[in-house]
Amino acid sequence: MKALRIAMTDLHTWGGLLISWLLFAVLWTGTVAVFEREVSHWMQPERQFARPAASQMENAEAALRYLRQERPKAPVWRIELPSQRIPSLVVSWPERPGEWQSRVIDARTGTALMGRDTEGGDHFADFHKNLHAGTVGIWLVALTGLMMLAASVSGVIIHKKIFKDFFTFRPRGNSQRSWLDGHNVSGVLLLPFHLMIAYTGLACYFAYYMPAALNTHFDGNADALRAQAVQSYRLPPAKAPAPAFAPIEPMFRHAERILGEGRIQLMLVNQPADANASVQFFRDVDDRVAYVADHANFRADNGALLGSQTSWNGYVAGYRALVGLHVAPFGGNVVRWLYLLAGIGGCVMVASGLVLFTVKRRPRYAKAGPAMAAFYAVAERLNVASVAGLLLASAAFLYANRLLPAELDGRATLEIGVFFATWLATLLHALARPVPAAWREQLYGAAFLCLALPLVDAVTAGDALRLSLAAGDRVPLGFDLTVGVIGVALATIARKVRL
Amino acid sequence: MAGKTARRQGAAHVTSRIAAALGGGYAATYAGTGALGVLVPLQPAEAVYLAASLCFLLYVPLVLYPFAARDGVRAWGPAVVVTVAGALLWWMGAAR
Repeated sequence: MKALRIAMTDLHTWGGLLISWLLFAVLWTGTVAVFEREVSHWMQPERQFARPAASQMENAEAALRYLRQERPKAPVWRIELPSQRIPSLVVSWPERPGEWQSRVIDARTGTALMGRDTEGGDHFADFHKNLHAGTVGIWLVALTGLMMLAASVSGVIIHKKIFKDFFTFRPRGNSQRSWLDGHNVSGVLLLPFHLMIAYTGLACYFAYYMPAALNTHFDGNADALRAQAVQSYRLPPAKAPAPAFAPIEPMFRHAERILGEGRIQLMLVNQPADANASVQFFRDVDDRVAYVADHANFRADNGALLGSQTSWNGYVAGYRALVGLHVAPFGGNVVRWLYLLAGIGGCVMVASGLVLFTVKRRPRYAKAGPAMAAFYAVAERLNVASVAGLLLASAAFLYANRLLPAELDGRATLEIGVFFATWLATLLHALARPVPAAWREQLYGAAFLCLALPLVDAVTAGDALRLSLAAGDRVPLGFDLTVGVIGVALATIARKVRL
Repeated sequence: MAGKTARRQGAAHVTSRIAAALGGGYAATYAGTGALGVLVPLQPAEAVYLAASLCFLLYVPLVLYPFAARDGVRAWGPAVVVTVAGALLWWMGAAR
């Protein structure tokens, strides 16, 4: 057992170290992405204060009125009905293949609000999934997930007194001890979550990197696989223009009888300009773990039911439960906050592991040869940039959203550019400064940006804030306050922590 | 005393362990997933979703083992066995 523990120590220490600069970024952006919709909502203040109608039916009718008038030729219309989570009626359509546009509809007046061009929360979600680097990025993220699993299991193997140490945290003693305790506590207390989140994350994108069974049965075609799981009632194009659209109310009521009253959250209208246009109603997904949406489908010209799907194959549901556990569409704000806190716990585990490595080995590497000393110096600085620097860059992204002109061309890409440029700058800063100073300056910098964000928001988008509160939408204010609290936490860490 | 010997072994052994863990583990998991996909008596889509749900359970121990093995050569043992067995079962199952 001792030999195994020693062997696993090297894997845990070195495997953990080398992957953690990237793993922290994946964990942090994933944590933020739990609230990606709220981030997007905050980042488009122009769209925040449209009031939805009293009933979902009226909302659906208002959305359809707008789309029929403004975008009759679009290949598909997408209507997100207001929900507890995001109280906005949102319509969207592909302006060009792959390029979707969206508007918030004020159901009472019929006006459409167009927000400033931004990736919003998708920036964090996309970075989390693929580092904004396409398929190569997906593979790299998969590697971090695999290594997180390997590090977690090896960590348990090497932790001799895992039950005795369960609640041990000694912040005042020897610094190395405190860092080890912090690493252990955040790792062990949340161990089921860490194992679950890493495993389910890998499962989400199996088609990209573990397609063996998919290749056997579906020639590697993930769409063909999905078509087996999700019933499609889409009609082929009739190539004839659509006659009048049938009234939506009977369809809506019929869909509610199938899916549940008050449970319709999303509508799609396929090929609305074609005679074979169809309307799809989707049930919301916030009350089940398996990430599958029941749906009901109707002909658009006469409201006839084409078919519905309210039951799912057990193996499909089982797999989609893994996806659901990762993305957490269920449980509303309570679950989202739990995932946020657990995600932060994961970030603390990885960050404290990185710092522990350098703190523990500082005396050893001070006396080592030039190669090891150089490696160690770089490692220490990578720690600063990948932890504090990333947090600073995340805040800078939010600032770019408020400070870049709303009308600026290409501002969505520019915001992401600010994120990466800031992150690169923090790396250069970390390479130029002594390590403790680099930590302090970047942590205080991030803290300052977070604490000042509510003020910047009030100055640059104060009207929106006031109007959204008046309309009963507390998300923008909640976002400001949460970022402020994060700022307080960062300032406290900067003050108290000896790095 | 596997651990002490491992630390004194050279870069070649370490590299071999890493290759066995990541590369060998990948091949073994791939073959195992393929085998699972044809061996379970399920509909094609069901088999794929089941394989997708379970396959990474195979990869994790295959990453850990090479670092517990006595040397960089023995590190490849399980990866090779699982890859060959998996590939055989996959081939036999797909041929049916």
